[in-house]
Amino acid sequence: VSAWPDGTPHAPRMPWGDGGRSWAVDSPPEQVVAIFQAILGTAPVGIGVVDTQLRFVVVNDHLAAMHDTSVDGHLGRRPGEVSSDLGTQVEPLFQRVLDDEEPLVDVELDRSTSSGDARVWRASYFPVRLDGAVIGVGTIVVDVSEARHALAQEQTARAAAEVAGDRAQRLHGLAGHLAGAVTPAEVGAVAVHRFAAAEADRATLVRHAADGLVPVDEHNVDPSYRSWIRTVDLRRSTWAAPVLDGKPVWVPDRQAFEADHPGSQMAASDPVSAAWCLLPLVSPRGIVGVLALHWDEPQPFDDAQRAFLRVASELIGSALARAATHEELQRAHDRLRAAYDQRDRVARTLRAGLAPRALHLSPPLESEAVLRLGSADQVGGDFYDGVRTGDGSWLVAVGDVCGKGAEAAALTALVRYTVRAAAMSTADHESILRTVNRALLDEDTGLFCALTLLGFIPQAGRTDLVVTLAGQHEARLCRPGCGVELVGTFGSLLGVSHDLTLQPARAVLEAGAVVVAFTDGLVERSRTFDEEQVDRELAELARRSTGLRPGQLVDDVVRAGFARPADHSDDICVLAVGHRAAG
Amino acid sequence: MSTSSGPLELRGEIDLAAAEDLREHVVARAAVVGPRVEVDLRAVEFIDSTGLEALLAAQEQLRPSGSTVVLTHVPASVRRTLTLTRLHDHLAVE
Repeated sequence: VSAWPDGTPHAPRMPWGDGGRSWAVDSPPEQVVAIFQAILGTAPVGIGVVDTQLRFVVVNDHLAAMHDTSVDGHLGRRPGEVSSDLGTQVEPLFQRVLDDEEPLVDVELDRSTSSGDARVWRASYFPVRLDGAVIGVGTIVVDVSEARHALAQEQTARAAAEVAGDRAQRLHGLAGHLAGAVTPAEVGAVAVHRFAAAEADRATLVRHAADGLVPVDEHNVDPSYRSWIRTVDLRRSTWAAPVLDGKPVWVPDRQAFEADHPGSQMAASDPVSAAWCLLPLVSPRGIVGVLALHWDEPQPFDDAQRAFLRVASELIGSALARAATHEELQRAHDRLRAAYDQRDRVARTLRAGLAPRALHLSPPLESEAVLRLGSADQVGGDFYDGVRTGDGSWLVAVGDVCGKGAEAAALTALVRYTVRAAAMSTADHESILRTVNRALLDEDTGLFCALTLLGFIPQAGRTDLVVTLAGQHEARLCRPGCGVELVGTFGSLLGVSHDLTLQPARAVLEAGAVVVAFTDGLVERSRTFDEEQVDRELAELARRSTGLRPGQLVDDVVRAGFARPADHSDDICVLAVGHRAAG
Repeated sequence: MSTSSGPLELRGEIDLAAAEDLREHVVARAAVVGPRVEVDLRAVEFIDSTGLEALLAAQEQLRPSGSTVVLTHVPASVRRTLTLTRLHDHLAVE
């Protein structure tokens, strides 16, 4: 503590406000001085007083240290004489208080120390009065740098947290929308229009295909840029190639980019963007695409922004890969469906060719046949045929080749034409069936055939009937007014063994009688329509009739058979041949 | 199809769709149970000629090794099919 220029000690007469003045006046001077000196010496604030000439008359150690000058270096000097920046910053404030005689409170001063550290002071200035007259200006200065720094850090952290929270929300929204995107186009629309359009000024998403980049979607892109992205070979681009290795490419400032890459086609195609980035869209299978984002303003691409965009690109990459897989599966399904359709068309064409349109038996024989195909992939299956044999009789075959596919179809044709060929030289059923059996075994396909041969030998007023079974049900001989008789002895399935058991059965087809043969598809797999049901249907019809017609019986059996709940995946063949009643 | 160490038990409908699997199972069974491969048909609702042919093909495949396929607990409907195709001439039925 010094003294006023006239030598008067200042401390006992310092202003303390009205209460302080009273206290100071009433207290012994040495006590007041002691208290004041204690405050000056120990308070963690800078305290000083200038006189009306703005010369420091009181300076504590703290303020001196803040000014990087000793106490003695202050006393009797103006602030500008202590340091030039003090003169610039502080002297006007002292002068203002001196002039206005009003305090200035909480003035913040930006300072820098001699070591270059930035500091912030909060200072208050107040007039010092003696007997009502202003004799100087006091100041109290607090270094609030740490508090200010902490506040700034808090504000930065809060802002970063808000940005992070906002980005987390956007990623959450992106993930939600991507979850609903099924096709690559839908993924592209979500990525570009729901995400990228909100992040950048322009955006393009391209898929990485075997033959290059395929644009999927875009936002606000100029035609010249669109043309560039369609034709660019990123592997040949010195700056963009890393994206194909899964590394993001960040171009925060166009000017720096153009300096490093003069003549860049990308820059020429997009004269507007000031910054851009290429984000690889990565899946476990590799690069599935690239998302390009462009901004009108330079971008900092700080760690947080890069991490955010990386996570977004990973979400989009996964969704795009999933969609691509879905698309591949869909294409495979379509190809499979087309193949099935084609196969079905071929199968039906083959099957249609395997069955004659009608059996053209000569009168008095008449016939009716129905061949219903089961599932379309069961190429092969049931068939029927009729041929005149060398002795003038008629041979009718009803068969069922097991298996499916073209091989079975070929086998059906083999059986049918083997029967025809054999029948040209013999009417003997056993001989014909053994020929067919040999043909099947020679083919060595592992497929086999159930076959019924019906021989019709015209006689006067009747037809002699020969029935030979090879793995088939008995034929049903229906006589008007009588009922149904089973005709046939079970014989060996053809194509299984050279050792055959075959036994022709004979009967007479009288005028008005009809013989019915069918394949196992009619009665198998049904719990409500079996052979007994067939026989009941036929017997009922026969008993009520005086002259049966083949068409009538076939219709009745087929109608009854198909009225039942059953699996109709197997073929059904029902054939009837009758000797027309006279008149 | 049951895969225990006892008889091979077939269930449900045995048709063309199941025939190839059936043959493979029967042949594989021989390696586990020895020369007598028992196929229990009591739970079979339906078997068509392709199913029986699969059993026959397994029988033919096992014949060189001395194994035999034996059909047991054959339902009437299956027995009917065995009869009308005369496959009972080629398969052992108990």
